[in-house]
Amino acid sequence: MSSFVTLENVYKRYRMGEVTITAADGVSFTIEKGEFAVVVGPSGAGKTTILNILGGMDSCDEGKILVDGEDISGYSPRRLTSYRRYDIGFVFQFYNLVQNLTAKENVELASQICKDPLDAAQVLRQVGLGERLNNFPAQLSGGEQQRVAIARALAKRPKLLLCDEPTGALDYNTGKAVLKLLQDTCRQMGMTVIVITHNLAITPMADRVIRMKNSQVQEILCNPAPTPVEEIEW
Amino acid sequence: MKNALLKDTLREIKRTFNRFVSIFLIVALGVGFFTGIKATGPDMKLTGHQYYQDYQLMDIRLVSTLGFSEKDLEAIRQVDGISAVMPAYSADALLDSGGKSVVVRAHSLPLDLSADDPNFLNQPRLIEGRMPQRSGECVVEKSIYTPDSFEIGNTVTLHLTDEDISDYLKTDTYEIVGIVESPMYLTYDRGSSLIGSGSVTCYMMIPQEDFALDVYTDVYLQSQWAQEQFAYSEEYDQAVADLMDQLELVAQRREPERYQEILEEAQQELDDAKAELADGEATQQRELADAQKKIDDARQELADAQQKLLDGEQELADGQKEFDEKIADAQRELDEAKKELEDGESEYVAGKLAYLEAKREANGTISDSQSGLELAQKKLEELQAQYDAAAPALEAAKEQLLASVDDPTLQALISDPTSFDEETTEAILSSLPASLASQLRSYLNNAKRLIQLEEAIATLSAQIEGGNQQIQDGIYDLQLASRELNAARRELDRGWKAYNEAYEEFLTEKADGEQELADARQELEDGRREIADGIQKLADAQQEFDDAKRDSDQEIADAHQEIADAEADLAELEPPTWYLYDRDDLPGFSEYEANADRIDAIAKVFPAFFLLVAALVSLTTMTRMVEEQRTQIGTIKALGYGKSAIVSKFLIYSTAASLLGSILGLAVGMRLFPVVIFDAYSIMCKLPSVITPFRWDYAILSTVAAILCTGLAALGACYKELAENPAALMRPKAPKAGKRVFLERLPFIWNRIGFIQKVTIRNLLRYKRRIFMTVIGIAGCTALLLTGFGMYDSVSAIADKQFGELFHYDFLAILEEDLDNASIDTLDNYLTGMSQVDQQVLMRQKTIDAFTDDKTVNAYLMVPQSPEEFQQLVTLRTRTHHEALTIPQEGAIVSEKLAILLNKEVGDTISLRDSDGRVYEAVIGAITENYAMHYIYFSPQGYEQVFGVSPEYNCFMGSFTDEALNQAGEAALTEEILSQDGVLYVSGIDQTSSRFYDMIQALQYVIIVLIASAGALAFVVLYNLTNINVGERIREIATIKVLGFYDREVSAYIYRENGILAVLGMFAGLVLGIFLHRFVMQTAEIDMIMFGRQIYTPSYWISGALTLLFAVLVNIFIHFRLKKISMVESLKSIE
Repeated sequence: MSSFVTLENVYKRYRMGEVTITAADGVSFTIEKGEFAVVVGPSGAGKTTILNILGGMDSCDEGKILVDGEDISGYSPRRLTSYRRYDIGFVFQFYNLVQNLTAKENVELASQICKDPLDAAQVLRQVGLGERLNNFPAQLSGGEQQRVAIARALAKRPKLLLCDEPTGALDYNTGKAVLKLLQDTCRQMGMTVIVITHNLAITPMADRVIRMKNSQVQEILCNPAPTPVEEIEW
Repeated sequence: MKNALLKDTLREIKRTFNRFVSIFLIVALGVGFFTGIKATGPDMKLTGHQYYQDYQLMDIRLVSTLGFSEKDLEAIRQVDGISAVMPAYSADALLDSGGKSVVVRAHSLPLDLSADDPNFLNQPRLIEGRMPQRSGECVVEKSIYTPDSFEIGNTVTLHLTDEDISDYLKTDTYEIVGIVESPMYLTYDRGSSLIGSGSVTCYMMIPQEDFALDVYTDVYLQSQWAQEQFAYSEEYDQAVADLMDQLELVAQRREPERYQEILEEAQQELDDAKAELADGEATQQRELADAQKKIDDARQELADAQQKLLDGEQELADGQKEFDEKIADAQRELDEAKKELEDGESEYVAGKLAYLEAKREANGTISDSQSGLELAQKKLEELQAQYDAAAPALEAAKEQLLASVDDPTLQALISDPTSFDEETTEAILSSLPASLASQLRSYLNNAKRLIQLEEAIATLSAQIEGGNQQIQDGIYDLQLASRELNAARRELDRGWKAYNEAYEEFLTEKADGEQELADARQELEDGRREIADGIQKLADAQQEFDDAKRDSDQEIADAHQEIADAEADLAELEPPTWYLYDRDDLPGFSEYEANADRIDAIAKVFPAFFLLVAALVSLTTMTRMVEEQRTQIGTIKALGYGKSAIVSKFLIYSTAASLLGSILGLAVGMRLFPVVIFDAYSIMCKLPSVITPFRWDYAILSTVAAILCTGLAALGACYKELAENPAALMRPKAPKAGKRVFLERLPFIWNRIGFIQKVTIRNLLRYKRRIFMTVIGIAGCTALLLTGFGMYDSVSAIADKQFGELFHYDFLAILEEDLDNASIDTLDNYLTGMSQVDQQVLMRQKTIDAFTDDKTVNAYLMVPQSPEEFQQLVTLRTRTHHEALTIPQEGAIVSEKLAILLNKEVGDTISLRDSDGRVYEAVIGAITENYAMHYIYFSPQGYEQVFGVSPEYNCFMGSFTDEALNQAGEAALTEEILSQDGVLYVSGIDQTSSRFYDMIQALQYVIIVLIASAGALAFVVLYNLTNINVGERIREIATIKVLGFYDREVSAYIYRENGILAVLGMFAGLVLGIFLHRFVMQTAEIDMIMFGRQIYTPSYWISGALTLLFAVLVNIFIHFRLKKISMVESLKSIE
């Protein structure tokens, strides 16, 4: 039985003028359904590239990407859009909330284009923002904004939740709270979550750790007994 | 400026090339349009000015009712300040072209002056071919209005209907050697004429020497002072006016002088003519007498000749008679001789015939005889033989018997048996013994037979002898007869010969005689012919004489008449009047200026507004740019660069874009617009190509405005940013907080709005300034579009309304001055009787000045004899509600623009001043809708009240029936009216209206240029604003793309807002446009014309639709741009 997510020899090259940068250099790994996976590595290791490709925001030059049995590497831009729309939830480092919409509206922005979304207010309550439904992003703290972003991703009921440095712009405690939310989501909802970070300290909480360096996968570790977030210190 | 910063600036331009180009284009459009439109009016005037300079257009034209003599010229030349004088001729003539006559104005062209001669004024501009070099050559103009025959190489023939063209021109046929244009005729208006249809169709220029006039018809002048001025300046007008004042004095002096001169000269001429006439009469008498004598002599001579001829004829008759007799005699003689001869001949022939008959008979007889003879001969020979055979036996028998018998009787009987007759014999015998008897008997029988034979032989021989003799005789007879015949033949031949000779002689003699007679007859015939000739000659001479007598009598009578006429004319001769005209009186000259002024007027507001919109949008763009660069400003500031260095980057950016845009705009606009607009005016004007100098004033003004706008925007935005400290700057600017909109407080509405709509509304209301700018930008463009279309409407309204709704008359027939009532009645009856004329109204028409303290307006005063009928030809109504007006018994109706110019309302008193300077006051009874020119209408009663006299009617206004117009056309109809006595000239409304339509058409082209420019601006502005919008929201767009919005949905997300902004802008623009249009029209209006005040509904639709169309086009562009937005790039970092 194949894994939920499978990357096989994925290559991605960017041409910057005369220089060609290889951002993914034969990346292969698998992630099982319901796993909390962490892709870790230093800046420029190709983590974000992998995430972008996996999330349908970018396409790879070579290789195969299977998500829930579908090979998305050959998708047309339109199918990629559909893929993002129905199968993927994104959480960014800088939240990328629409400033002009309230927390609830930001969630609705995503949910109203899905087939069977979760109720926006419900999700926001789940992420602990039941009181701030009608606040604008500017009125929320960073952690709260990131929660809105997570709620926005979750409301779509994606197959895959992709988080790009979700704690990068947050302070320690808030970061921890966000990570906890992600881990809880994974555990409680059976959501497959992939988190990208350069913070090695986070790795113990993951079911699977994929270490990247120089655009290549260095090591894949499976952690049979992940540590709860509360016990992790950094 | 530090090197790195410069590089940064350049990179910035490269990076944001779209924006740079946006500013560049908007500025280029704004500056180009502004300067181009602004420059057009001055350029047109400059082009005109240069044209006048180059071809030495006169400043003043003098015309006199009696022409100009050398003395007049001398007097004119002595006026100070005149730099050039050119006396000239002009004459109107008809030219047949395409089945109808057109009026041609022939101008004289001095062949002896070179083009650089300062006194060669009004030089034509040669377009094609060459200038005339000798008599009989001409140059003509060529346009769609000129006859088809106006081609180089063709000849044209001029004629006049009532007069002899040779009174004006020495030759009436001219070969076209060149095509010209003339500064005297800027537009296609050629002025009016007293002949033909009443308006000049085209002009031609012929050598001055080809004019047969004694005095110059025109004198052209240039003012030294005016020539140094710009042709359209007040200084010029002043200089010309000054010179005209002086010329007025000359005119006052010369008019009576000239009159006196003419009188004296005429008297002298009359006296001379009388003396000449007397001489002529004497000469005539003498010459006639001489001629008569000659004729009489000739007649006598002729009579003599006739007598001679008669004698000759008698002689000839006698000779003929004699000859005839002689000939008859000779003929008779000859005939007799011939008769004789012929008788002889017939005798001879008869003889000959008889002879031949005899001969043939004789020959027959002879041959019969001969054959009988031959038979006889044969018988003879047979008998002889028988005899010869019997004879010896018998002899023997005889001898025996003789011997036997002795009886003499018997002997005798035996010797000659015949000696006894038979009875005796018998008797003898019977007497004898039987034997002897038998013997004797036998002998006797033999002897008898022999004797019988002998006898037969003898008989036969005699017979043969006789036959031969007979034959011989016959032959002889024949020979004799033949000889006789031959003799007769010879005689006959001799007779014939003699006859022939005689006949020959006769013929010769007769021929000679006849010849002689014929000669005589010929001689007589000649004589007779000569006499006939003489008679003819005499008759001719008599005819000639009679003709000459009659002619000379006629001539003398004519001369008498002429002298009488001349005396009468002289008695009636009035002092000449000089008319002074300036350039404004040239046909089309002031129209051209008015057109340039009209462009100027349009250029007052429209381009400024255009530039304003452009500047506003550039400003928005620059402001936005500075805001985007916030972080970088912070970084550079943190690095220790001063404010000025930071500001300079944006200043360089904005200045570069604006300056480059300005340069492009100036380079293109300042040439393009004048050329295009001038080109549009070429449908009504003929001038050399427009001169488009670089106009520094407008260039600097607009460029500075553009640079200031963008630069100040950059500066202002920078200073706002720079006020913060670098750290704050480097932090992302706190995103502008979302805000609840007013609608959210109305849950019953808010809750019903779909989510996307809510988002849209909230987005729209979030960046108020951006919305404001966008709406204003779009509104500005829509307003410009609407103004453009509105101008089109307003301008079209002049012609459409003036000539479609208000004026229904087709012609205005101006009557000769001081026409008596009877003549007017005759004309009225004539017009009534003319089936093509639908209706006509007798009117008093004149121009009059309406004035206030600070304004004088020239208006037409119209006094119809019958106001009711008049109102069927001209609609009088209020503009706003179209209420019909009637000309009141008291007071006047004035046209609207006049009232506006004088600032008068109904019930106010208007002051009028006639050409003699008398002032009258009239109450305004009503104000009527009117768009072109100014009119003041009075009823006859109203006129009398104001002017104190009853109106002297001087024109007919009338309309033609539609069929007549369709069939014959206006020109033919007006020509017919003009041909009536008492009609001075006729102007058809088509002439007036077509001039308006031309002007309007040109103006419409101009407006189309404006509309096109406004459209271009609208497009660029929309593109730019949408671009800015997208640029600002790129993160948001990337986010929703990540969320899985399809391209279409992403575009729709943006479109919705853009669309609403565009529609808002459009509506705002339509409202703004109404005001802008009104403002532009009021500013652009010239005194003579009132533009329509209304914008027609379609214009609103078109302007709105165009705006939306541009919005759609822009959105299509944007769609592709949105598609290209990379999510990865846009979300990579926060900035």
